[in-house]
Amino acid sequence: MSAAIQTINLTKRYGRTVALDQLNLTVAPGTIYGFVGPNGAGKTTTLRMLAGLLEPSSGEIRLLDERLDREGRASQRLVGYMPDFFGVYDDLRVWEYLDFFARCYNLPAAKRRSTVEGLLDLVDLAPKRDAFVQSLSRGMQQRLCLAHALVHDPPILLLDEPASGLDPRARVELRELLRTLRDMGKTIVLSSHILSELAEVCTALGIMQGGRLIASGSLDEVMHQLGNTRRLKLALVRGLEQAQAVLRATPGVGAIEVVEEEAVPSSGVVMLLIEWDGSPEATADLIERLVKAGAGLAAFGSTTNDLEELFLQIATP
Amino acid sequence: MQMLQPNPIIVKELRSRMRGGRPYLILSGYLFGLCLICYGVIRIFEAQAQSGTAIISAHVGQGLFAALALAETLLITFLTPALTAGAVSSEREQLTYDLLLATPLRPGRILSGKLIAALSYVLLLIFAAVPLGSVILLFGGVAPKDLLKVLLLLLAIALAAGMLGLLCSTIAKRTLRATIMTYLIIMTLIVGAYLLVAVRTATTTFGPPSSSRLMAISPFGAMTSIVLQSAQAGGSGMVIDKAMMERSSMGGAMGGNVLLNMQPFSSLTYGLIDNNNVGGSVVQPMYRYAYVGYTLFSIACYWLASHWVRPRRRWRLSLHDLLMAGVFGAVAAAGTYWLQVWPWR
Repeated sequence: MSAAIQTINLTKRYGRTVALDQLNLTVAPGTIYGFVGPNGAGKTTTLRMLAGLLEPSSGEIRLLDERLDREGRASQRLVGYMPDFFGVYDDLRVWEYLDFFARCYNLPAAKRRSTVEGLLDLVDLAPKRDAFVQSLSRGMQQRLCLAHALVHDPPILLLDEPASGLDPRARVELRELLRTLRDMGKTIVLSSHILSELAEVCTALGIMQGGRLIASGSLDEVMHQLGNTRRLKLALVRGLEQAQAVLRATPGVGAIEVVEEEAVPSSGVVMLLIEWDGSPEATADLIERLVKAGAGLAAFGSTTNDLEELFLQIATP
Repeated sequence: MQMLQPNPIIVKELRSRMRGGRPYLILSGYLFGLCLICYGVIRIFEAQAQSGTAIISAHVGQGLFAALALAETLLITFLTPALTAGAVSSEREQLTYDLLLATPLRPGRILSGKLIAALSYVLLLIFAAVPLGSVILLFGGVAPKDLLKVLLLLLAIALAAGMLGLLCSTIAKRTLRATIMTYLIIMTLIVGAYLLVAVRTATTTFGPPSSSRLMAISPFGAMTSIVLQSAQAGGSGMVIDKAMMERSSMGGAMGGNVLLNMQPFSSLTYGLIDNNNVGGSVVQPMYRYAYVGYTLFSIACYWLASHWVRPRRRWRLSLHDLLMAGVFGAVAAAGTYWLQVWPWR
């Protein structure tokens, strides 16, 4: 199947500043793709270029195999865009707001009404149909803005920081909405600083830094590309020294850390955290040797650095 | 298909602009202000009549005509930019501009929608005052043709001031800056017209011209020329007061209009009357130049604004530029022909 979004050496310069440098990105249809990166990494620039609002300095954008022309007309048809800081027309009613954008997308009068009602149901704003936009909560306005991006039923959705400023409940609602949209067959590209959210919703991730895409793929693939090693967590009730000796002698074991804060002195349990780059079979061998060496293994688990740590890792200069 | 549907911007603007009590309050205040001015003018004539000056009905009609025309000029000149100067910049401030640009709506349609929506409200103000203007006809002294001239000039002023506000709105990122920019340009044009004529008069040694077409730059100059010409035209049904004409410091050309003989209104006639004419003092028809000039100015502003409003490839020339150049050239040619050749003016 062809890519929903493909960029080839996409570059954006502002004078001498390179905001986006040779971006080669491929997003498969039906994916929820999340951009992670610190401020100024080029996430918004990328989304704005995909939405046809910014002209690339060089490179190419293809949306569903259609090359984006200089006027960005394909974007207007194929993309629904929600910017990071969006405004709403305060003096319009909720249905009028959506009706306005439906008119902007040239929807015929007969279809306009059903589209507006359908979208109000989808984003759960039907009870607020006749309310003024200014009277809506931030979360509701966010959903309304998302609804406006769906008014022409685009196959691709670009959402810049869709969860910013939302309370936890509104975030959960937004997450559910994104899943519903994915089930409807939409390809969704979003950026967010709420990283846990990306991990829960996104099927693929792109890590950006300094205008470059430094890793892209599924969460596991990204972790691997970033050299982010898996960790093993061991709970020992006895034989700490023997365990450490075995670990030091085992290839694939990196740093060994005794986690003091997780130790339970009354029970005599000691927690060990080790960097581990072994296969599942090597992991089984390691457990066997630990037990044979006399280590009292009370618990054993595998863990990876979470996105929060990953973000801090790339955001720290 | 797109052209068959009404411009979404107009629909949205009209929905929101006419919402609440504010537009009706402005309209009521505008009409109330004009009524007060009419009442004031009638009181002035009453006072003059009581002091022994011969006042006839036509004088009152001319006085009301001058007062209403100039008051409406003032209101339209300064109210229209207030409606358009925030048209595009407020979209940027409200962070809704990106939402608009991401739609297939062309920047030109955004611009025309904003202009039409703003001007439709100004038109409402202008036409709401028409019944008040028709009271003038009851007093006499003013031909219906003169009222039509005033109406046309008000429309031309509204178009030019509105387009200037819209242009500034596309250039400035903030509405406040756009508004200040618009009013500064308008004030410069008004004051500049008088200054230019004053400098020209002062620097000409022999036979200094008492009138200049430059006065057409000022909406007040153009409007006053209609009022003066109406007063000068005996055929418009008005009885000219010969004694008053002789008393006039401007040589009688504005003699018929009692109001414009008074200070400070008489200063509005500066640069409008040609005293060097062999057949006697003649009011220069500045409004004719204003019709053509303001229309050309509006087209030029729209042309520039249609480039400034684009988010990308702002100064790339297109077929639209060819069309605009054609419209500008056609209006300029037709205007020149009308001003210089065509007998019906």
